[in-house]
Amino acid sequence: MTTPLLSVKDLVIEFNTEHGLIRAVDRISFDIFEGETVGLVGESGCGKSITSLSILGLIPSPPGRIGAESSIKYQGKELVGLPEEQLRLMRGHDISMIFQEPMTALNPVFTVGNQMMEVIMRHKKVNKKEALKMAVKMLEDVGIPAPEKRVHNYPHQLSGGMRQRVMIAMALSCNPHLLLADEPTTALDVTIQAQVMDLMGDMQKKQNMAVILVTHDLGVVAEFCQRVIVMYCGHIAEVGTVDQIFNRPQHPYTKGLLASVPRVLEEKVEFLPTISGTVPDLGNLPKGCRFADRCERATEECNAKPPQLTIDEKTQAGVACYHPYK
Amino acid sequence: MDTLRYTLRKLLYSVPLILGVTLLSFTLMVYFGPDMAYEKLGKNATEEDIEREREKLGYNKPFVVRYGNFLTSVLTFDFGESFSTNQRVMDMFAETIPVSIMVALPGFILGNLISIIFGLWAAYHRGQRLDKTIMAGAVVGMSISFLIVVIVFQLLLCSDYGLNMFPTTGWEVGMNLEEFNILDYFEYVTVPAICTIFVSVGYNTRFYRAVFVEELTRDHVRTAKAFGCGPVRLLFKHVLKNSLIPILTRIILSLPFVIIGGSIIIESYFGIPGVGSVVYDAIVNGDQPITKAAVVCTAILYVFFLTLTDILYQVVDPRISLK
Amino acid sequence: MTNEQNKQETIKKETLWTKAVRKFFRDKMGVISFSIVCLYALIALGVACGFWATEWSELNPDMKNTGPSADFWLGTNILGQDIYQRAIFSTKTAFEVGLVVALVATMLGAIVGCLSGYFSGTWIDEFFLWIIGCIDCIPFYLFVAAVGFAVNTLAQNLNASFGIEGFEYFAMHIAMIATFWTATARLVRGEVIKIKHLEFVEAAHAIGVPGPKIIFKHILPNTFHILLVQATIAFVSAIKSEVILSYLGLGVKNTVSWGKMIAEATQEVPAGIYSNFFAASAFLFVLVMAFNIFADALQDALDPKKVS
Repeated sequence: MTTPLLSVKDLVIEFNTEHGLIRAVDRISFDIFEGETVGLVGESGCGKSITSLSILGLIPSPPGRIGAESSIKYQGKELVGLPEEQLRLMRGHDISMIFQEPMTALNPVFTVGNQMMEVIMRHKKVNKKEALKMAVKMLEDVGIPAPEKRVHNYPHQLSGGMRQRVMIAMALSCNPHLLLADEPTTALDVTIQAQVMDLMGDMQKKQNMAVILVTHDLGVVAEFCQRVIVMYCGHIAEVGTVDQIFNRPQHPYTKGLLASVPRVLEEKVEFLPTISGTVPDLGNLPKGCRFADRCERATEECNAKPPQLTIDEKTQAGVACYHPYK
Repeated sequence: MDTLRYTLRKLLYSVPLILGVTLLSFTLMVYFGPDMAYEKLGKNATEEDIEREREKLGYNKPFVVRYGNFLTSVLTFDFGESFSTNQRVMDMFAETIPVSIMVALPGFILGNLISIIFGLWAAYHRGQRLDKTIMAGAVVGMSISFLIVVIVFQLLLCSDYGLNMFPTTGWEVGMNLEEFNILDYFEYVTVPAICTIFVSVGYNTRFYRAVFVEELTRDHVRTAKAFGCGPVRLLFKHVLKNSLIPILTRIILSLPFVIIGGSIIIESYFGIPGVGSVVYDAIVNGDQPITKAAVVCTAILYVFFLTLTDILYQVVDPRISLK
Repeated sequence: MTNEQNKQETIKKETLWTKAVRKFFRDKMGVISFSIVCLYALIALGVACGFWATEWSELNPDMKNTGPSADFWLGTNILGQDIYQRAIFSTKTAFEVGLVVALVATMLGAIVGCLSGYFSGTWIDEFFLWIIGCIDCIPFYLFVAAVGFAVNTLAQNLNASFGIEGFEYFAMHIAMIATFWTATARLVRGEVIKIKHLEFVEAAHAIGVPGPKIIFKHILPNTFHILLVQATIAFVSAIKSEVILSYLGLGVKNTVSWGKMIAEATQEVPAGIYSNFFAASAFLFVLVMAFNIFADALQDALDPKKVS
C-alpha cells in the first residue's frame, strides 16, 4: 500500500463552553489516499465539519483546540503544531476548501476577480496581469460564461450556483492535492447540485486531487465517492468502500442511516424508518458506545466500554461495533 | 445625475427633521425661555419700557407667528446679535469655527485611528489576554471624567507642577496663510489633542471592537483564512472594508458636534477662542441668540452629514444601490 | 416518557433570568464591581437617613484650605468646609441623580419604544421616530442648557401661579431624562418589532387579547433585559454628565456633588490646591468604573447573543 496523502491519527477536538470542556471529536483516525474521493457523512453536530476545518488548522481558538496527542500528517508532514505562517502557505495551495454557503463565503465588497487574484498572487509568483489572466482561465474552466466580464462582478451579482462555481475555481486555482468540500451543494437548488458535483468530479480527474466530501446527503456520496467514513457523535462508526457501506453496512447506525433515506425506485413503503431516540449530549456522554442507547443490538458490553475501530490495512475498511451486522 | 437626484430626494426627506429641531428649540428656548425684555433692559427699567420691549420682541403675538419669525431667522441664517458682545452671531461663528476645527481635528482623527487599530487588534485576539487588557484599559478610560482628564493633563504638561512643556492657555496661532506657523500650531494643539484622544479612545475602541468582532465571525473571513490570508491582510483588507459602514457613520455623524460646539470643555478650559468657548460663555451667561444658533446650525449640519453617509454607503458597499 | 418530560422541564426551568444570575455570579469582576456599587449605595442611604456627613455645609472660617488633619480627614475647602464630608454627602447626590434619571428615562424609553415598535409602519411609529431623530441631532450640552432654561421659567411660573417651590432643582434631571430616553426607545423598538412576529404574540392576537394588553403584558416584559442594561448605562451617563453640567453652571442647585467639587477645583488646581479635586475624582472614578464593569457583566449575563 502506498503512503497516504493525508493521515489523521487520534484526532481530538475540544471546545471550552459554559458547560465545561466538550469533546466534539474524540480520537478519530483515518487515511486519505491520492486522487480518491472520500465521503465524510453523519448527522449535523457529529463533528464532520469540525474535522475538515481542523485539517487546515481553522478551528476557532479559543474556544476550540486540537488535543495534544492528535496527529494530522499531510504527505508525511505533521500539521498539528505547525507554525501559523507555514500552515498559511499550504492553505489554498496544497489543501483547499469549499464551503457550504456560497452566499456568504465570498467577501461581498470585493469582486470575484479581486478575491481570486489575491489567492493566486499569494501562492504563485505572478504579477497582477498574469493573475487576472489565470483567474479568467479558471472561471472558464468551471464553466462560467463570459468569464472576462464575470471576473469583475461582485458576488451578489451572481446566482448561487455561479458563486459556488467561483468558489470551486478559487479553490482549484493553485492546483491543490487535497480538496475539502464542506457540504458544497447543500445550499443549492437540486438541479444545480448535480451540475456542481459533476464539475467537481471533472476537475478532480483533470487535476488528480483527493477530495474529502463532507455531507449528510447519502445520495451524493453514493454517486461520487469511492470510500465513506461514517461519523456518529464525535466517533467514527464505520469506514468502508461505497459498495460495502451501501450494500453491506455493518454498524447498526449506518444501517439505520441508510434505511431512513427515501428511495425513489423501491416499491412504496408505508412509512420511512427513523432511528429512535436522540443523539447524546456532548457534555454528558455515555461511558460505553455512544450509539448504545438507540441501538437494538446493544448489550451490557456496549454500555460498559466503547468499541474500538480497527481498520484493515488492505481493504481500508473497519467498524467500531461489538455486534456488527455480517 | 442619479446621485444628484438621490441626494436631493434625501435632503427633501430631512425637511421634517429640520422643522422638528427648530420647533423644539423654539419651544424650549424662546417660547418657554427666559423673558428677554428683562435681560435686555436690566433691573432699573420701568414697566412701560419693558412692555414696549416685549412688544418689540413680539412676545404678545401668537405661537405660530412667533415660530414663523423664528423659522425665517433660521432660513436666512440671521440669528441676530449676541447679548453680551453685541456682535452678529453668524460673524462670531465664522470667526471661531476655523479655530475649533483646527483644535479638534488632530485629536479627532488620531483618536479614531488609534481606536480602530486597537479595535482590530483586540478583535483578532478576542478572548485572549491581549484583548482583555485592551478592553480593561478602555473601561478605565471610559470611567474618567472629561473634566478630570483636562485638569490632569494641563497640570502635568503645562504647569510648573508637571513638565511645563506647553503653554497653559491661549491660542497664539496665525489663522491665515501668511501668519500660520506649524510650530506654533503644535505648541498649542498638542495638549488639547492628547485630552481628546484620551477621552475618546475608550469609547471608540469598544465600539470598533464590537464591529470587528462581528465581522470576524462571518463566513467570508473563514474563507480568506482557508486560502492562506495572513492576519494583517485579513484585518486591513477583508475586515476593515466590510466594517466601513458603521465606522463611517460614527465618524461622520460626530463631525457636526466637533465643528459646532466643538469641544466646549477643552476650549473653555484652555482659553482657546473657538466656537466652543463662545457656546460655553453663552450657556453660562444665558446668551440666547448664540445657543439658539448653535443648536440649529448643528442640527442642519447633522442632517446634511446624514445625507452624506447615505451617499457614501454606496461607494463603500457595492450591494447598496440608489433607490 | 415521563422521564423525558422531566428532563425537558428542568431545561425549561433554566430561564433567561436564572441563567443570567448564574452567569453573573460566575463573573468575578462583575461580582466585585457589584459589591462596590452596593457599598456606595449604602453610603448614600446613610447620608439620606442622616447617619453621617451631616456637617457637610458647616463653615469653619479659621480653617480655610487646610490639608488633611485628624478633624478634617481630607482637608477643608476655601470656605473651611470639610471636604471628606462633602465627598461622602455627594454620594447621595450622585445616587439621587443617577436613580431618578435612569428610572424615568428608561421607563419613558420603554413605553415609547414599545408603542413605536408595536405600531411600526404606521404614523404613530413615524411620529415617535421623528421626535427621537430631532432630539438626537441636537448637541447634548446645548439641549440640556435649553431644557434647563425652559424648566427654570416653568419653575418660576409654577411658583408664581401655584406656589410650588423648588421645581428648578429638577432642571438638570429633566434635561438628562429628555436626552437619555431616546437610546432606550430605539433599542426597545427594534426588539419589539422582532418579538411582534413571534408565535406567542400572534397567538395572543388570534385569541383576541386587546392590543394594549399584548403590549404591556406580553411584549414589554420580554424587553426587560434591555431595560436593565440601559438603566445601568443611563445611571453612569447621568453621574458623568453631572460633572460637565456643573462645570457649565447647569448642575444641581443648593447641594453639593462631585461635579460641583471638581468644578470648584478647576479654579484651585492651577494654584496648587488639590484636596477638592482628588477627593471628588477618586470617589467619582471608583463608582463609575465599578458601574461600568457591572453594566458589562450584566450585559454578558443577560444577552445570549452578545459577542464578547
